[in-house]
Amino acid sequence: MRLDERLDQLDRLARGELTLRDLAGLEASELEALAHLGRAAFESGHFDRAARVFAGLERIEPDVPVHVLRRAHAEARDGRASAALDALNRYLDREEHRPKSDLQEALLLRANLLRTADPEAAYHDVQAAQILAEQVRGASR
Amino acid sequence: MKVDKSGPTPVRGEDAPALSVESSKVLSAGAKALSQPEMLVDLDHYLKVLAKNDAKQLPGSLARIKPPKKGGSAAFSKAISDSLVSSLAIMSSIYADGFVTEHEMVSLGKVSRQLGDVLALREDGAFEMLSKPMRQRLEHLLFSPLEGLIKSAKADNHEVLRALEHRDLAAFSERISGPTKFETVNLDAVLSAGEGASLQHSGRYGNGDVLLVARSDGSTVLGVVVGREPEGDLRVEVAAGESLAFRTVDETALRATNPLKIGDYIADFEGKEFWVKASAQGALRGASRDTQTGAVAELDAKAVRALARRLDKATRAARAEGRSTLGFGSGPVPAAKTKSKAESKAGAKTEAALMLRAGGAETPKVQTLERASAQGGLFTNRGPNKKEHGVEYAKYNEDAALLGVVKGPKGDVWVAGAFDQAGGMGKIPGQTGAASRIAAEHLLDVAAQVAKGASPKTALKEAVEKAHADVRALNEQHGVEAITTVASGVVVGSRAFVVNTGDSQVYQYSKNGKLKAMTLAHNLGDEMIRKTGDVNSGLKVANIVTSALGIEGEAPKIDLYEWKLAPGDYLVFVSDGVSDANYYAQLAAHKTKKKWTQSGGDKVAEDLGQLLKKGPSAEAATEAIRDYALSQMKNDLGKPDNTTVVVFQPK
Repeated sequence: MRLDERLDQLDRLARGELTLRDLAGLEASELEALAHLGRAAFESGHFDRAARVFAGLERIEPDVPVHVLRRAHAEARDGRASAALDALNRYLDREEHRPKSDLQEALLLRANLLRTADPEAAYHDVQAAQILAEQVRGASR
Repeated sequence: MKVDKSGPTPVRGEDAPALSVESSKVLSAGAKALSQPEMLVDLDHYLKVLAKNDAKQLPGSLARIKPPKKGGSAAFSKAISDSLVSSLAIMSSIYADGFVTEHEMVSLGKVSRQLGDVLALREDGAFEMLSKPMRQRLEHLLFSPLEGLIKSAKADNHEVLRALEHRDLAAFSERISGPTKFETVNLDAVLSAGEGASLQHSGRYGNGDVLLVARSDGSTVLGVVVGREPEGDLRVEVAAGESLAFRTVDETALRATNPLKIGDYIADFEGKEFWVKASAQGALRGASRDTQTGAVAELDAKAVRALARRLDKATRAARAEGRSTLGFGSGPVPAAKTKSKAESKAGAKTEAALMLRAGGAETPKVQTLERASAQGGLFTNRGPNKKEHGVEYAKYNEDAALLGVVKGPKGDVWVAGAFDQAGGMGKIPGQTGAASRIAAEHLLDVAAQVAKGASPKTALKEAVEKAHADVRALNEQHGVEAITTVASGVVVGSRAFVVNTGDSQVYQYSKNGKLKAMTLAHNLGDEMIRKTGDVNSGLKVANIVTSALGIEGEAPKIDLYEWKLAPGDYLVFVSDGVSDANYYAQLAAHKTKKKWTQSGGDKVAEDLGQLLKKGPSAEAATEAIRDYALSQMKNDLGKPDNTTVVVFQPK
């Protein structure tokens, strides 16, 4: 299948017109293209579409943590706080290494989402993000 | 079609998964649909159209179904239908008894391909030339059931294969990393002409042997002999990523890479004894009596070459003279020198001087090491399993464990450690636990360095730095982000030098179980507690490791400690499979507002002290800690994880 056809499929996936089952055997370059579509959707304000793309990527590449974080951002911006929190918890509970900058981002987003419902937890997340920030600053000095 | 169940080996165990309920239903519906007369008529018609247009031959396996000489296309379509029904029966019978042999796996593959080929008929242009009602009937009666069946069968096959591979992989790992049983090899018997088995089938290599197998890049890998082909070649299992691969190797090639084989004990070679084994890197190594008190030294390369030359020379001479003897196998074997009790003991001691369990290896039970100066116990495995604990963490172990002793001029130098890997390696064939293995190997070298006079702290720090660089190189090579913790140390006399990076832990207890010292865990949860003083503040970030080996652009934070040891003290090295043994308990309490007044980590330290108080040995302590951690996971109190415990106790 030609790349432009695949990209069209990916775009249809993002619009919800195709399911993941229709997209078997995606190559690495196509996955990158899909991630790009997700980011483009997010940046252009199509958060629902971005969330669907990153949800799809999370299923296709469950060992890539950043898809989960991006999904959380998209869900949050689309107003689905509960889905965003689920995604953030999944991201923060993982075993794999994640960049400290991404972890800070996740903690601050979670703090923001929790600030009313659970201010104590939100405060702890902010403190944890601060610790990471200090470590990043310390490492770069 | 008759299913051959008399296959060579009962490779597959009794608990192989049976066919799922869903697949059974689809199988049954498929078989029913395939016997519908309408379907046969339609299929017959379709085959005629196909033959008329003859756009292409019947695909794959269908072409191999020979049409009956009489009866034309109708009989042919019946033959196809019968074949499919028979295929379904094969699948049912294979799965039904929950016991899958190698032959059956081959049959399943063939059936699966055949079903796929039938489905491919739908793709052919001739299908479109049929009338719409006929297409719909074929779709309803043939293609849809088959499609569902293939989907279910694939899922079932995958599950069966995965279960079998993991079980076999565990057995393979155990064989590769388990203790070597040494058997006397009388070189004179090998080299002298005499009666015995033929050169081609000398019987020198047999089932269960661990051998070096040559790879295409010139390196070697450890394999286990699992059988012999009818032509005489040996079937050898080698690790291939997360599973196993079979290699067929002729005996001459094996002899080239195994002039001596692992497990050989040579009573007398140029006045010395040798025990032959392999290094973790897959090179032939051995131990001589000279090195029995230290690390298992590499068998002197000169001696290996000389032995190989002698063996080759004898082989060539035997061939030239048309003799077919090596003195092994079923033929009369000249009396071998039996090891004395003292020799056996010496051999065993040499073998046990260093225990490095890494690269996916697991210890089925606690392994021990004892010297006059101290004793130790070691356990590492994948963690809980569904059968025993009702919960499963992983199908493999990526922790590594280390325990060993090297004799230095000033006495024994002990080394121990627990290493916990996260991420990355699943994508790398043959590299399960590669990062933790690298770290453990570097730390292992520290014992020898310290025995030769190196500063313990410097050697530990440099080992961690080198390991970090090597893990980074591995990550870059494979495009992954594997990281590993290090909780390790060396003991010289009454001083313990401990190094820590990551969230594995080292504890020091008195012989009465009183906690004397422990390392600081590098994870965000513990750092929150240290910053806020609130033991519940870091619960939601406890999984975030803040320092480890292998992180891109980030040097590991290396904490070094020096602790004074008293006789009977315990040094306990654990991965977070143990140190998180109260994590879920604390989390659950937090959710119900019954907050704990001590951290989960401190509670574990306290629990371990209670266990150690009972004594009476490092082995018992290791067993008790292992049982505690797995029990906590079973009871949903501890976080399921790979589980590693190493206990050291000076005398």
